Amino acid sequence: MARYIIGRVLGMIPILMIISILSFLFVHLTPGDPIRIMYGAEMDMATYEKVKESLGFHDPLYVQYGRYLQQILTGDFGVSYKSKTNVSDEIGKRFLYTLGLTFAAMFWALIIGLVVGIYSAAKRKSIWDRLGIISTTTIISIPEFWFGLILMQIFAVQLGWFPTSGSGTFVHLLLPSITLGFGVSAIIARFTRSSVLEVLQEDFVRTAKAKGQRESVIIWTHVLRNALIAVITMTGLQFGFLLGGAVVVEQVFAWPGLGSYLIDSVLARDYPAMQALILLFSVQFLIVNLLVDISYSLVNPQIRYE
Amino acid sequence: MNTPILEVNQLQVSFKKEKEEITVVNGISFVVHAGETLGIVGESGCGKSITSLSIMRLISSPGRITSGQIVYNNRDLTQLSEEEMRIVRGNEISMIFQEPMTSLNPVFTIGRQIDEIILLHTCASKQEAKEQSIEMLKRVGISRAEQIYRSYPFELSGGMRQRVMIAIGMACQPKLLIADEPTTALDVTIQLQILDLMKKLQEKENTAIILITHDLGVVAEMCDRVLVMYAGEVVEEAVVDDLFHNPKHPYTIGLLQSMPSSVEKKSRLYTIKGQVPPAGSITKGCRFAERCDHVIDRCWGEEPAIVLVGNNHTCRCWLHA
Ligand SMILES: Nc1ncnc2c1ncn2[C@@H]1O[C@H](COP(=O)(O)OP(=O)(O)OP(=O)(O)O)[C@@H](O)[C@H]1O
Ligand SMILES: [Mg+2]
Repeated sequence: MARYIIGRVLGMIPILMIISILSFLFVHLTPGDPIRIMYGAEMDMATYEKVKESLGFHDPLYVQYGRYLQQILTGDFGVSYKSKTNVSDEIGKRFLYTLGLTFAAMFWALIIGLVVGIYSAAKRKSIWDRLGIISTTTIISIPEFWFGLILMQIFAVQLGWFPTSGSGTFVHLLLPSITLGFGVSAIIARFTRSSVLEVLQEDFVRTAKAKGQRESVIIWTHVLRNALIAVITMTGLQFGFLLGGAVVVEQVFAWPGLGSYLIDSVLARDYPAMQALILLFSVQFLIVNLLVDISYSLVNPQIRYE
Repeated sequence: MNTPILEVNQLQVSFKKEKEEITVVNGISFVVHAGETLGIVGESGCGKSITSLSIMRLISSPGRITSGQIVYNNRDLTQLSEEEMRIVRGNEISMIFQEPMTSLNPVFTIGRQIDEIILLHTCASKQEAKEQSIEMLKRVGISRAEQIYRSYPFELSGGMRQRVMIAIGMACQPKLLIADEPTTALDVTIQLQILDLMKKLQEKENTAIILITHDLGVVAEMCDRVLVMYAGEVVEEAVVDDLFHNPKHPYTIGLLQSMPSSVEKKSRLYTIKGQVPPAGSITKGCRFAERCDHVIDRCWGEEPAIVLVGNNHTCRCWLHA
């Protein structure tokens, strides 16, 4: 197991290299002049050249990339053009907000998704099952920003139970995380339902019944454990979806995470921040995938032993 | 030996297909005595598995038992509630299946899967269950039982898994073990070992066995009595020796002739012409008529009843009516 994890981590290095090159190039090859954005369009040519020189923009691209790589390896993501603060400090401040939001969203998504999915599979073809299918189909097609605004309108503005936006307490986290997790919960519910139904057809379920085991126990032990193998993989893939969704939801609820930081920096052409965030989102994605594979091996003994 | 423990009476099982009920088991009756082995033979699709699953009440929708009784221990199993039936399953009547590769849960250890049935039907503690499970593994001829207890199914061969299935089936000393083609998926030497094992356990525990197979060699080896099924009905029932030496029904005779014999090498094996008619397709006359070499006019119009043709020997055929 340890060897497997080390191997996987080493395997990430070339991918990270490629991502760093892409994020570097992406920023340098897109139109828009960062210097003019930083100092305003009215600066004279001499100052412009001086600034360009000091930022190293005269050097060939590979030299600039080498410098960039050296910097990020020491954890230095440069200074934000816009706020003139250290990008890594800003990320450090915001990282936990996004992490908290994503995990809280995944928590809701898993709880709702698994319970609804298993229940509909156990009571297949009942009215509850049909209701589940209809509502999950609807929920999947609702855009997050819209759903977020609806929740905000009902629970924050009209009923006043929750704050409309901001951060700081657990209560602030509720609406954004439910917004973010809701769509994923529907995806997980549908997926869980179909994989539970599939596993229910397996011969070992008949064996368990022939032992005299209860149907409910069979579903919650024998079937669920097997169905989870597929659900975990799918859930892991949804993390990417959540990271993307977080960008939107953070904006709607003014949640001070990396997503709203990304939007701010894109609007401001704040290249150092954009570069750092692209890199960071990719790293998160890789780590999540690794965690998924590890947890996959926890439920599937066959993988554990190989 | 002669006390009946299971009595199946005019059992009928149907599947619902597009509002139409298709009867796949039609009025089957038989008795199983304590400690004996009853064989059920017949071509694929004749309803052997459905019959045995009915006894366990494990037919799932759209199938259901439409009529008849299954009397075990003076109780009609078809009338029991699901809760009452759970106490019977695995405890008094247990069942092992054809596919040892898929009949065990791949994500649980062997030990956990044997413990499960012991914990369900006895008051054993977890530790006691573990001891009993290991004891069971030893009884089914598995050396290194402690190690196998901790293994997962994928680490075991097919023969080993079938031994584990037998260990699960026998763990609570059932009065009746239903084995649905327990050796079909295994190679020949392993088949013999498994049959041998079942026989040994049966002698020790005085368990009755219903052995479903289409291998008449296995029947000759294992069974006391045989039931020959055709298209959802019993066509002949006899003591094994009687059936092999004095078969009555043309279908049974066909089955015996199509059996490969190791003594004489015929150039070609005999085959019964035609195929089993799809369930529900024959409503009139003898179900075997269109494949029968001895068909007479009467066969097309009326279905023969099952009648006594000798000592403990019954047959459903106009030639012997
Ligand atoms: N779920 C089902 N839906 C509809 N018909 C079914 C279903 N299961 C079984 N049948 C029908 O019931 C009949 C008997 O099936 P059964 O499985 O008992 O045959 P079998 O004698 O065990 O055959 P085999 O030797 O292949 O195991 C078959 O004609 C089959 O088509
Ligand atoms: Mg069968």
